[in-house]
Amino acid sequence: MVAEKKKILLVPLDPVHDMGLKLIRKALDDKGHSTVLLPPGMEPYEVVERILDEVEIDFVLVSRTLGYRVGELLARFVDLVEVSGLRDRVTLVVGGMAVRPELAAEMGFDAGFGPGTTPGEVVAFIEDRPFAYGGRAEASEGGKRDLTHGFSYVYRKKEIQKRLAAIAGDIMGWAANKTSPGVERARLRFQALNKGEKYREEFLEEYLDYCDELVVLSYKRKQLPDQTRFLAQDELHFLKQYQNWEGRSKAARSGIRKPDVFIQYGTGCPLMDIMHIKVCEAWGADGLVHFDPSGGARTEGLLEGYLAHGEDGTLLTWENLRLIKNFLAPNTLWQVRAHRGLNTPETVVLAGELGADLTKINMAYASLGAGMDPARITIDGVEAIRWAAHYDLPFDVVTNEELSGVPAHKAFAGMLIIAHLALQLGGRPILQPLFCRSPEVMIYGQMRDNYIDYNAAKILALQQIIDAPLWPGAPIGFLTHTEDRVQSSLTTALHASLARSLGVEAISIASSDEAYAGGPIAAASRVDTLRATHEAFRFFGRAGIQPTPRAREWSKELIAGISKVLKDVANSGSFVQSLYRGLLGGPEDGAYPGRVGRDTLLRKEKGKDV
Amino acid sequence: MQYAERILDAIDMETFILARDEGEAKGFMGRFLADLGFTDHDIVFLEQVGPGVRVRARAYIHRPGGSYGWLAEGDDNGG
Amino acid sequence: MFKVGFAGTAKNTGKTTAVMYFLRQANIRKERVGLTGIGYDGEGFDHLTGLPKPRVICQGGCIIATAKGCLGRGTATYRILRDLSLYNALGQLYLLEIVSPGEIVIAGPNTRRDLQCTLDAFRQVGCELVLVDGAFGRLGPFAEVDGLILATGAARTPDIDSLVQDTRALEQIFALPVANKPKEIQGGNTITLFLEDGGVKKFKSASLLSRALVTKIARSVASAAVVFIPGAVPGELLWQLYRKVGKGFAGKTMVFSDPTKLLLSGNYKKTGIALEGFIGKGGRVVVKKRIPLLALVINPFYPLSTNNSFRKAFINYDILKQALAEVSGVPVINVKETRQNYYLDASRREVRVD
Repeated sequence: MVAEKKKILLVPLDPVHDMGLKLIRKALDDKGHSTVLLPPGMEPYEVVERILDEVEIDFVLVSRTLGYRVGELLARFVDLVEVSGLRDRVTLVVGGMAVRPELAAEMGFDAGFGPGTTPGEVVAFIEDRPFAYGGRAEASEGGKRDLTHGFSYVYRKKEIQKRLAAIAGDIMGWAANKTSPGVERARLRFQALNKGEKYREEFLEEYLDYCDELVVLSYKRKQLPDQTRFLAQDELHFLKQYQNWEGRSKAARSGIRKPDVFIQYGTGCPLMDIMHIKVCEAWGADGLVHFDPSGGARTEGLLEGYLAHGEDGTLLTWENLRLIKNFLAPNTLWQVRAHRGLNTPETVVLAGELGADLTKINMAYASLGAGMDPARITIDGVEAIRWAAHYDLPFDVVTNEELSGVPAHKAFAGMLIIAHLALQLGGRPILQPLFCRSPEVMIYGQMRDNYIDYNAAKILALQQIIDAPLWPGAPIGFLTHTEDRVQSSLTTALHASLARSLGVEAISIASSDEAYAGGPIAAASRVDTLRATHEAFRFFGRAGIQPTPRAREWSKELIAGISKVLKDVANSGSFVQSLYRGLLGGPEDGAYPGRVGRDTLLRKEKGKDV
Repeated sequence: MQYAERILDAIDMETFILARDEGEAKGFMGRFLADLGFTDHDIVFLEQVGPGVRVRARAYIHRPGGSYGWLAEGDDNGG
Repeated sequence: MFKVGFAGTAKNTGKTTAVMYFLRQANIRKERVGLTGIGYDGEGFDHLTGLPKPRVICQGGCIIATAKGCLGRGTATYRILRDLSLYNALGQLYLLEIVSPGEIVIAGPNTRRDLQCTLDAFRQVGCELVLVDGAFGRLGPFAEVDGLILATGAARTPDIDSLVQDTRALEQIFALPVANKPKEIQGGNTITLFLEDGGVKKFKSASLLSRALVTKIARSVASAAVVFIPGAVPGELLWQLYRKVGKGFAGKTMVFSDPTKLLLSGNYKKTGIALEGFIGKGGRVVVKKRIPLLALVINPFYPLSTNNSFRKAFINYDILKQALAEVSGVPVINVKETRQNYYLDASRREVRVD
């Protein structure tokens, strides 16, 4: 959509011109608006005369450094515009040192921009696009971004495509007659959410049949697990002030739109999460990943209510998610990850019903890196992908099994299998290679010289295989962080810049507490890495980071490796058996198929054990 | 203050304060440092973004040219 | 509905304190009262000077018009009655009803038109009295109110004689008669001369903006019967006009929109001298709309500037009060000290004492 062209009078009421006004003029001119810049030091009445003289002025932008008497001068200027009958014709904006929205309101201006304002923010205001004071205007230029937009998912390596098709066919055939408690709960949850409160009794009667004792007790006796509590009314009430809150924000980026920067939140308490979210949004996070506790992933069934606990990760309940969702800024992308537990399909249903933007699914990682039984998670994963397709919810296919020692080519083979399955089921997958100093590279030395080449090789390899969105995660720079905040922020910023240089769609970044395992992440540590990342983006701009020729060599090796693994899996005739047998990462790599949910599969219709 | 004596020159405290503006945050942090018993302190950095203010506050224990508590290190066995 | 504006002759003259006083009085009398402001009030300190400012405290049932950005900054609880579809620098404006008493931050409509829409909304929810807190340096929106309460005092100038002269001039401005003859109520949006021969001479500007404009007008006054200035009339320029025309003003009429237009520049003394001059030379000066001065609120406090910061200082308020009461025809009140109960009487449209 092209914004309507406006006419803007720029007024340096200061005795000297300020640079800011000139920069704003340039930005406005670039967008095709018409501007008139007055000489500095004019009297307010002269400015009013100019408004009378110029045809159809839409905006008057006054710049002035504030002081005690200056406030009065500006207020009188506004008044003069009013009583001269021009106030309803023009929008009055003030900018300068010490200007705050409160002062702008006091002086009668329609908006106020203080130090740190970017020209882009002023342009956004003039074009009537959503913006917040001091930032995010450019981030909001196109509204929320669809990370999968513009990707064809066309394979560039036909051999790989053929093998993936065979494997996906096998998975669908194998899964056809199977179900699981997780699959059944997702179905019941969907029905309950769509039939309303009346249906609750009926829902619970069946739902609790598929839940673990801990969950059953919480519903039937209101008995919560250890260290878990309901949020109090006054805690929820406190949050009211942040509803539809538009605080002062940091400018997110310079020029280049991509990548969207995601952070993970999950302090254990939704209230603290919301405060962290507000901090992160303001400091330039484009997206948020809901990080749930690992314990919850090993429990059949989800709890209910506004729940907080003292562990890492915030409990997945309908109420918790809805509460958090209510406090997100309009342009914030929100991912509710479903990928690794016994509640995978049900989590996608919650995410879809609540209008999340993204979810996260990968059965290979869940088996090899997150302790899930391969058979169970494959059934649940297929169902989760179906739900994601139902809600048109894109999801990333994460490859954190690399951290357990699985080499990149094996992890990528697993990722591509899930992505292909998703495409078959109508889903929109996003590939999530890790930018990390994995056990593989520590052993084989791919990062002996630099951290750039091997990470770049991963991106190049995937780009050569398929035209699909890429979202390095999660977080970037895994195993390069230390507990020192400067080191940690710097490594994050550099990995982020590499990702940006490689043109990926999104990145997930850690806080500077990434390596600290002693307790919860502090808000200030989130500010550290967001600030560092944006400073690095500012530094590199359109200048890129140049990998050495090794990157391309390694990308070829990766493609060959992936192809070989896919061939083995296709030949084995069973994706699930391949996971058990270690074809996608096995004991020699340090990865073992998980046991959570073993022997829980049910036969479809008859409801019998498989 | 025997532990503080071991601080080479100054101690920084960085945090995020829920405050209406930088002035309020500055006040909070200054009072907090005073409550902790720091007499020689400064607010190095303030930036209001989001629901509060990023703050870096500093308490000087030993200013250059002053008398350095850590010179007497051996006396109290380091505290 | 009685719409009362609170304006100050300078910053820190105690507008908001006066608003709070009359709000309390209205609460005691159990009136359905509305409150808004054309500036930014209630946060406890001045965003420019850093000096303390009064908090705005509201009782249950009070109706408030304020911006989204102010919600949640106070302690009062409220329910949103409606979205006014108006905006200021702090976001969209809402009409609220206070549920449980407490502090509230107010930033209401910032233009005359928006104030008019807001006042309509107050009327629709049944308010009998609406108080509009002003913002120093801005009177434009007050063309919409039924009466003004002016806060003055040491913050304008610590010199009592000077305050007395100012007050005398204010009295004069507010006492201007309302236009009632056919030739006086002709109008227009810009400065217009209605000529003796029935012709009309229009200028581009609504306000008396510059000396150049004053010179142009002065040249044409000889052939005019009525000089109509709808916009701002700065004291200095009005005085210039008087100096240029002088005796030539005999038998002619000067028409202004309302008294607020004569207060805009803050130079009351010059305005007063010019008005006296016009009338003295046999001219007539009228306003299209009278906005009566209801009371003067005085405040002995002023911010004393010292090395880039401000501190509180005071003048002797007994002397001040007495001096002002002598020249003023309306109640002169120190709302912090008074033992009498002054209140705004919505049916009689005046300040009364209980």
